[in-house]
Amino acid sequence: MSYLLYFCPIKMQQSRKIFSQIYDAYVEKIYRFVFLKVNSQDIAQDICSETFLRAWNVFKDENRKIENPQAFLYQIARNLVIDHYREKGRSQVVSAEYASVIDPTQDLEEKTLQDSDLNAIYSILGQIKPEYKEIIIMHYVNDLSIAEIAETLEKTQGAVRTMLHRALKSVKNKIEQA
Amino acid sequence: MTEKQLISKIKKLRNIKPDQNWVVFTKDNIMGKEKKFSFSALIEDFYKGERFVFNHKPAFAFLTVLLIMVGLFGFAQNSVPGDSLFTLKKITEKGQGVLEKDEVRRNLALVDKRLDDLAKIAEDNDVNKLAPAINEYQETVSDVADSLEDNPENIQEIVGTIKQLEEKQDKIKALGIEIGENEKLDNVLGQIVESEINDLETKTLSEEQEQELNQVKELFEQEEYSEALEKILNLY
Repeated sequence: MSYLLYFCPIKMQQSRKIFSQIYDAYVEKIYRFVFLKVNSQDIAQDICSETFLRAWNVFKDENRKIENPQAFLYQIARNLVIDHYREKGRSQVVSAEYASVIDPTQDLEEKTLQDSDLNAIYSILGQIKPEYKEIIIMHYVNDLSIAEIAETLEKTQGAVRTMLHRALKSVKNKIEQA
Repeated sequence: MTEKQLISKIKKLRNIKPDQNWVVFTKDNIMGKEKKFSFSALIEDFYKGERFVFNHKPAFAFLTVLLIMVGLFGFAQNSVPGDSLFTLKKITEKGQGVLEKDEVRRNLALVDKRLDDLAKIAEDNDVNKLAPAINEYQETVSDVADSLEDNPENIQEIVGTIKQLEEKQDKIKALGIEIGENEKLDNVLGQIVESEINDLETKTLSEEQEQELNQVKELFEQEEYSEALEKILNLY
């Protein structure tokens, strides 16, 4: 081990440094993306960890190159969420009652003020199509541009725009129905 | 509700954040503790002995060298003359021989080992090693001759030694290996027999002993020194 550290430390250190930056930049977004899909903190943490572990294993491999780390991370996370539901046979539509969406570190007052709004929108998102929910999280919650979403989902930008429009309309309809 | 208001509400989901302890713990778990590379750290590591095992861990270095040596000496015990490790085997044998104070017995034990080597070579049919093995054997026989020359007093022991040597030589010869005679040993034995004859001639002997002495002289003339020594033993 000592010999390896001595002979190839610089390249490995560089990889670590870059991936560390990628982790810091995307861990919150990927966690949020997964959490809103699985509605469980524990499962979201497991899937998120696995996402970054797989990405790191690819990243440190000199023979493989990741062109777009963000798209790569979302793709891994999406596949892991699909695998999770496939394995467990669970439905993605889960009542907001079973999961708290509030950051526990927030002030109590602020938390109370936001609680009703947050839970309402969280509940509505649970009632629309999973692909609509996904695109809304990506664009409005995680701030991905249309181009970035198109690359992640491997769709055209036009298709993404159309889907986003329909997704928003679907949420609006659900609110009106409520 | 306008679209703007709806989007504003949706954006509130950004408040969902992972636990910071989990974030740090997961990062460490995935990539391991990050060790920043710097030359000062590298030099520090050299001092700590983290870069090269042998540099700063004398106990490990000593143990490793010891294990290698033990391994080499162990392997060497199966070597025969002509092998690269045979020198190590000889060193070990000399070390073991220190415990034996009697030089003749010590050298005879070595002759025994060289004869074992010859037997092994004959079994393996390793013709290339035959010449160096015979040379090694002759050298040890010469050592026996030297030690006999230095300690000619005990005729009984000399006779016993020569007997043992001849028996072993016969076994090797039976395997089809011609090891030849050792001139040095013959000369030493000749000198011992001659010296004993001279000594016996000065002594008063019975008629029977006189006859025995004459037979010894005949054997001496025929250069049958070991048999002559056996006869001399009977005269005492």
